[in-house]
Amino acid sequence: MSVKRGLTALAAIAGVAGLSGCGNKTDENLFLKSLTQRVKGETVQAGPMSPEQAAAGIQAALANTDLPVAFVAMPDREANAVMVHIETNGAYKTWGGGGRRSITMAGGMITATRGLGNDIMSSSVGEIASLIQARKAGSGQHVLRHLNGENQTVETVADCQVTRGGRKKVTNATMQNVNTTEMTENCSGSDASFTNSYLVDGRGRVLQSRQWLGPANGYIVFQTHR
Amino acid sequence: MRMRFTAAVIGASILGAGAVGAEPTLSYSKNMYGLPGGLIDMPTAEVAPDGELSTTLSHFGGTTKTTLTFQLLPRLTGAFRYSALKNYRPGRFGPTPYPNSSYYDRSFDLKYQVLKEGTYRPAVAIGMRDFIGTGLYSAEYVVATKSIGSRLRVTGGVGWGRMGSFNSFATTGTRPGIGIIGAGGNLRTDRWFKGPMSAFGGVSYQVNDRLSFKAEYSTDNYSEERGAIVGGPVQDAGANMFTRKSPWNFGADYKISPRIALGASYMYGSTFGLKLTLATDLKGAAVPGGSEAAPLPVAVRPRNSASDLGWTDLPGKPAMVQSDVANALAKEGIMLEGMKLDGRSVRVVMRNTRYDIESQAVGRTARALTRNLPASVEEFTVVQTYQGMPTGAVTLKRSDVEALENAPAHDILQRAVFSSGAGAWDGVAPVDGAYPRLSWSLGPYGKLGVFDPDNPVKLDVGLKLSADYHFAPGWVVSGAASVKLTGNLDAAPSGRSGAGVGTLPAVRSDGRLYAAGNDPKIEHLTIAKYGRLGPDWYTRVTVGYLESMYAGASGEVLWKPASSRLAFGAELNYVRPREYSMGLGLKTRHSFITDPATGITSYAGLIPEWNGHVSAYYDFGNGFHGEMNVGRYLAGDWGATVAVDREFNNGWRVGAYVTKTNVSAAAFGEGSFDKGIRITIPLSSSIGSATRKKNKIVLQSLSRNGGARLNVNGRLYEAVRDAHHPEMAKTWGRFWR
Repeated sequence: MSVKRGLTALAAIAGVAGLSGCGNKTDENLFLKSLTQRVKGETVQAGPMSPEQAAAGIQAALANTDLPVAFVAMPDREANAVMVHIETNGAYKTWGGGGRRSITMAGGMITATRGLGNDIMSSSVGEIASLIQARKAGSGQHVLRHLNGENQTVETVADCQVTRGGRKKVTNATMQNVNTTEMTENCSGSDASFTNSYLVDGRGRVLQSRQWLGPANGYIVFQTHR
Repeated sequence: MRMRFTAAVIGASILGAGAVGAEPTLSYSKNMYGLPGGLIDMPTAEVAPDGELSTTLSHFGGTTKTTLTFQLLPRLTGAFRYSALKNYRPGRFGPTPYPNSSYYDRSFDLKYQVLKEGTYRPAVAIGMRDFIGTGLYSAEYVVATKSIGSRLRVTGGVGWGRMGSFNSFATTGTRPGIGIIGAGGNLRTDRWFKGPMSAFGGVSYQVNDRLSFKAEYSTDNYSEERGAIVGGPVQDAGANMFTRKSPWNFGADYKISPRIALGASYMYGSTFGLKLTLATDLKGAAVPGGSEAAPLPVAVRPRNSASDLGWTDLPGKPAMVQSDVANALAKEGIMLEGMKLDGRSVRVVMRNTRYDIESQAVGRTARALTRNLPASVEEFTVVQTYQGMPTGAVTLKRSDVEALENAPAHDILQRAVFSSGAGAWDGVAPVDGAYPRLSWSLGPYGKLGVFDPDNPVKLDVGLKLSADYHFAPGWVVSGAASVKLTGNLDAAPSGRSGAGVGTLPAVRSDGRLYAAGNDPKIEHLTIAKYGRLGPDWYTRVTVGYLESMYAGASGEVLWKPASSRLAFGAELNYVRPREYSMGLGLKTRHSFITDPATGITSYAGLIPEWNGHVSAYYDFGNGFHGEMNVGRYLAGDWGATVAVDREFNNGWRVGAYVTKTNVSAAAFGEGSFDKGIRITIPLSSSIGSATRKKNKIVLQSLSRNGGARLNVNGRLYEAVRDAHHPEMAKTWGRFWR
């Protein structure tokens, strides 16, 4: 209580003086900097892009690079972003987006995120990725690894059933009416149950998907545009 | 009686271990004393979730209590309480009445759930309230709590001391009376489980997740608060804080959020009580895993490129590579200080300015190296530093970094080689801009003194300018100056009657005089050299104005192998007391003490020039850390300090320390010996972004002259420890973050 009171008094004084500290020691005055940023609304994120803004953002990205471009949306977090494929490590492809966030995928399945908070640190998707790419039903284990509040790795181990659904047509910024098959991955584990879905084209590419990132972030929609 | 009973309960708990109910019976409520439990003024056998730290503010009948409660272990609860009793004045009609309008009391509690709840068996706990100190609230109890269904809990117990002061049914021996003021601070084992005992109890009903109701029968007679009305020996016969009409209390709790709960109650048939609890789960984090930006991913070398050493012949290429690496690291908040690059390996000396978790800084450095080094460089050694002194190193194979980027972090931990980084600067010139380097900061500061026996909160606020000039690796000139704007840290003590000042040289007791006045003060001004004496040895020499009260020289040596959980250190200090104005002057070593009660000043002796300690540090590996310092303290007294901390892997630490030196309780003064609680708050956990900044709060019992240590900056153990294997392995999951 008293500590809080002291900090409040400090913040009040800093506010009156219009002073949040200065200098080149990166760690000094951080608490006040964070407070003044909050007061000024600097850390409050702008809402998600409107569909028009998103479309313009995708077009701009396509014009600016020859690299694959994707659009992602996280409904639970009210966030969306345009991402560009920036790096490949074997089967893993990493996509980067504004504000230095990244998503890593293997065979169209998200295996890691960075910079979202509550990130997936790594995943084991076993047979599931090949089932989805081959558009075949089957089963496998899906393991997601997160960090807890004490920086310990926590595994979510789920048994998953992959089923083949109907055909759907996908249109994106560079392709019109592509035939895809909807693959559904139904997972249940001791701590969590989730259902991912993937729209896979004739060449085994996942053009669009809705995948679970964990209890904190919920689902993400990932749409490739090139 | 007591021993047999305790033994029986402990025996039962051993027999019951492993039986039904693996989890201790939890309560998210706190009682008026801040202890986890569903009742109001009486305890229960319930515990809080492991690692929970809470503050409970409660008020009724003229008493306000602030209790800091920590769930030390899943079944062990500890609490520190600061109480203010309005118009309670011990010795009111005597020659030296208590001088303040409110009486401030501090107390410690422990409670252990010896028996977990089973299908038919209740949870059972043994508790000791105010077991150290003056004993105003002292009580011991054995209590049982049983759940009936998921909403109703029934509690019954027997209590001694205060809890045996109303309607007692039996007596176990004689309980010595409380002594409110004087040489408090000793364990009063002669009181424990002695005297009249009474049976208390109550019920709590959880209506829903947020709301609960409770009713209890209290066996606390509140004799002290009611004074002469009750009869019998009391400290303040004139106290008349409230009327106790009934032993029954009724209350309701409402949980506003997972962290905040409010409670209201009707107490003793005459008055209302209120309480507020703020709870923090120290195992949690604002954003688990951190919210900082993504690293750049690993860049994998093209196949067959690793044998190409052609670049080593290109003039200027190594310099170009070094500048690329420096730029890439700077974007991650990591400063390149030195680099030794050859055809097959690289050694990078870096300074982490951003990440509270060291493994994350190393992981980001490794990834940046994959993106900027020629393909032939296969071995990375990342050297961490403190003030330019190497503190530890991690060596990784580049091909492992490439292959394991998407594997569990444990896999790369198995391949990483930890060493001490000694000799990291051999043959390495500091990078341009790394040395010499000036870092500075100007900003507001607050100095807080909480839970003082005279005043609940003392605070100074002002402006502070601090600067460090690093002119070569290991060398730093450091200074800080402050100007106080306002505050009351220099307030004179009230002169509590009988509060002995002791007979040691006045090495700390005149601390408040250093806080007086609004002129600029030099907090410290030192030149320090940090260095290495070999793989396992670290050294520090600091000379100058070491801290606010002392100038001189301080030397330290630390032995800490990179993979060891054990470390030893030794420190020797030569000091002279500084002037109260905290300018450049020194004052005489002859010291004087003014007794606040009588106003008489007397000679307290010569402040010794030499002090120092040998230290042992041990990481138990189960979340507990121990430290022991043995040696000569500032006042020339010899003794030892033992500290135990529970450490969480997100930076939170909660611990306690005890110092006992070779002076008598009378020579030491009030408190008998030094003890306190210390809490380290990682700022990253509250502001949610990466920072190495931590706030350390020490709740010291009293600032006395016995058992006082020099406060020199930059002690080696904490500077070195984070870069070593035991500490890094705990949070290695952050390597790939």
